[in-house]
Amino acid sequence: MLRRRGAAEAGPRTRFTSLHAVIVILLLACALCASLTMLVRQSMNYHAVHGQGVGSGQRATEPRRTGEGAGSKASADSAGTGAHAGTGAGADAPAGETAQPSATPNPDPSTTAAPAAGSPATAAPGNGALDLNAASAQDLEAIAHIGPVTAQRILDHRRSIGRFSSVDQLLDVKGIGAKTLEKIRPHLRVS
Amino acid sequence: MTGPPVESPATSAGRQPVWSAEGSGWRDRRMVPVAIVVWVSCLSTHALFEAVMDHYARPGPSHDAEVRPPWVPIAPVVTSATGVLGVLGVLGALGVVSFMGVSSARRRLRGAANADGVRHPSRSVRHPRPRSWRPLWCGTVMTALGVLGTAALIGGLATLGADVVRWHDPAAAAARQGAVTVVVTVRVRSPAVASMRRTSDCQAEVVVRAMDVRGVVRSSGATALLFATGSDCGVLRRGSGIEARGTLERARFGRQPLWFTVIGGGIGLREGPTWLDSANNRMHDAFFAVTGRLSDQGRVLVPGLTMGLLGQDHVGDGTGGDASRGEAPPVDATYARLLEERFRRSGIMHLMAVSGGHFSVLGVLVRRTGSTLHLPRNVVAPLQIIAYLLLAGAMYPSDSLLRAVVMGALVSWAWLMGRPAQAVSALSWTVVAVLILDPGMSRSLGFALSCSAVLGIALYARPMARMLGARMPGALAEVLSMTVCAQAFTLPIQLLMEPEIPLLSVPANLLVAPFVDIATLAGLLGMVLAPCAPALAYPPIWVSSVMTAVMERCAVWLSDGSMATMPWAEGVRGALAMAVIEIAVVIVLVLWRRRLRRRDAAGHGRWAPHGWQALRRWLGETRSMLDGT
Repeated sequence: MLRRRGAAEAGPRTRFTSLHAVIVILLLACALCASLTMLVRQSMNYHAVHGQGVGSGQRATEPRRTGEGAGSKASADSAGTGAHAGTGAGADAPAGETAQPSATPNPDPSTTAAPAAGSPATAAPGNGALDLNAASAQDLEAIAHIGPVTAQRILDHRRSIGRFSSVDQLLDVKGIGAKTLEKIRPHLRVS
Repeated sequence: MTGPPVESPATSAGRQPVWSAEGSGWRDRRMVPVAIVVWVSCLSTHALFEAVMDHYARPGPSHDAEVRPPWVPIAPVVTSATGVLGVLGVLGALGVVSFMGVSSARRRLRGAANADGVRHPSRSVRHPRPRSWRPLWCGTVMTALGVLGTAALIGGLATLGADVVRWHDPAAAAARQGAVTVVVTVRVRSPAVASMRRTSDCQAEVVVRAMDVRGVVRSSGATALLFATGSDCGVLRRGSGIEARGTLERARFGRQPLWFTVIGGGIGLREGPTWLDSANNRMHDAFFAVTGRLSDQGRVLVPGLTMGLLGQDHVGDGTGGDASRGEAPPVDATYARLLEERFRRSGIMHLMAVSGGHFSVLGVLVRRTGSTLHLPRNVVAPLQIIAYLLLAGAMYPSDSLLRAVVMGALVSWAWLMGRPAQAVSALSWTVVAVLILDPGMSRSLGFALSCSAVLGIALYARPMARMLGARMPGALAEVLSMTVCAQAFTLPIQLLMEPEIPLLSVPANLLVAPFVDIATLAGLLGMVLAPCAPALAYPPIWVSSVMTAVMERCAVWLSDGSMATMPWAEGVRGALAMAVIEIAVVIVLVLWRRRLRRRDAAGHGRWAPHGWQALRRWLGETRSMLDGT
């Protein structure tokens, strides 16, 4: 049987040799590992933001954040759709609408008491603190313990997550550990 | 044993044609069952997951991820990961067992062969047969079972992991509770096209990056279909990051799991596209501006054939049909829809999806250029892969495009490594890799159509062309066999999409075949030229539109009348019935052929040329006679 394999080569090849089988199994396993690695990373991402998203500090900073977000969006809007002759009222309307969803579920008292009731993350920063969501690389480099590389990493991280909802999210940036974060925390805020 | 293999003595005697066209080069079919098993495993795992989750989620919204303890989202992934580890242990054991079985059997046989020389019969005399064949048989089956079992498990686990993560995605979790109003940050993944829903103007595929539900920002990775109206469509450019406010809900149909409908005006650009994406967008806009000068059929079909996006679906920068800039008004929607329907009825709709054709044309072009410039293979092959990637980026993204680009890259890589191109093997690996990395693709009909068409062509087009070549001109036989093979393999899947058999698809494909390549090439050339020199781009695009005019005529002519299509049973039942009928027809044909051959063999060399053969022989003889005089 085995000797006839040479002759049988002319026909379609359908039988695995053990070596090829092992190679195929290993390749399949590698593909699965790659697939699961991507999935686990994605899942970790949900988890991280989920944990912080429901934290009190984040919620306290929320009204201010979306208020500004809506404002900037309205400006982007009017810039983006300026061609369709959006009148003043037309450009204002989306801004008002966008601010609503975040404002309504939060009771009014918390909106006004936000800075005071915040977690350390929001309570600590003074007036000179730098907004993480608006900072440029130069702004960040001006802070002690942040070099050009770290500043760029922070910006990259901001791009990848959309925007910072808490200063604690800096822990996800490579090169910033708990100690560094405590040192730079007073200089930063999230709006 | 009545029909001995004719090629085998020649190939084994010649020794070198092992990798020739007739050798095993294009007949390595070992991965086909593996690919099929992975596919089936992905599909069944997903069906099972859906069934279980539907049952689980039925009691009400209280089961949603919102109220679960925070460890829940991570837990299933961890469990599946441990499952993988366990399974890998089992697989390793299986692999080792099969390896041991086969290697020991082989060692024994080899020892026997060394002991008594080369002749096979003498070996079987010295060692009684049962001792030698049983372990070998066991080894082969064990190996096959090991590989297929691994494939099934790995396909299943990949699907389970992907489904679990998708289920726990905040966007999917929010949408399960019904339509919710949220602010999302998304990245646009495809160009905006005309919407399939009446309530909105355009749609684009997006990846949700972050989602703000009632003041809680959560990151997400879900894919969704974004619908927008009016001037909001202008913001939807491929590659840009946008923030939008709208309603998120579960998709009512289609492959994308979520729908996000932007509330009028609630959209803003946050991040422009990368330079590559914006260059691409500019190229598309310029291309559509040039095709706007064509006749109606050209405006619809040339973009469809060139980049897989029918003219009427193009949305552009939201200023479509701006008369002040001298642009033509949009194509008449009724005409465009009718034309699309006609193409579908005559069975040539596949021309409007970018697939292997573009890549083979480009691959040949790159290879020829390389050989003209005397470039070495290890320069040309990477260039080919880069060209494929660029081409894929310039086309409208689709699942058949993914199949084509992955397979093209695999074949180029094989070429770089000095291996022969093995279409079936490359296709199988493509399927395995794509399905494991993105198990959702197993449910894509476009991917399935593309794969099955290529499988049919790779497996049977060549033998069939050889068989038909005796009875008709070679070029016709080639086109006919390709069409028939592709149609036969894709028909069951087509029936899943539309329960109608396009009866005239074979003649329709034969009629348009000579024009497709020229139209594609001319269209691509025009597309490349369009952004830099619109005036230069027009002639090739016009040539392309002349070719598409022929296709339009064919479609109109063939789809008229009630004979063009035949209704068929709907759904999986219809598809299975068609598959069974096709298999039965093939079996009958094979048996018939075998009988004919046996009769010929019994006739002892009474061979007479018939039909086309006789004509060709006569033509050849006449020509040689005339040449001689």
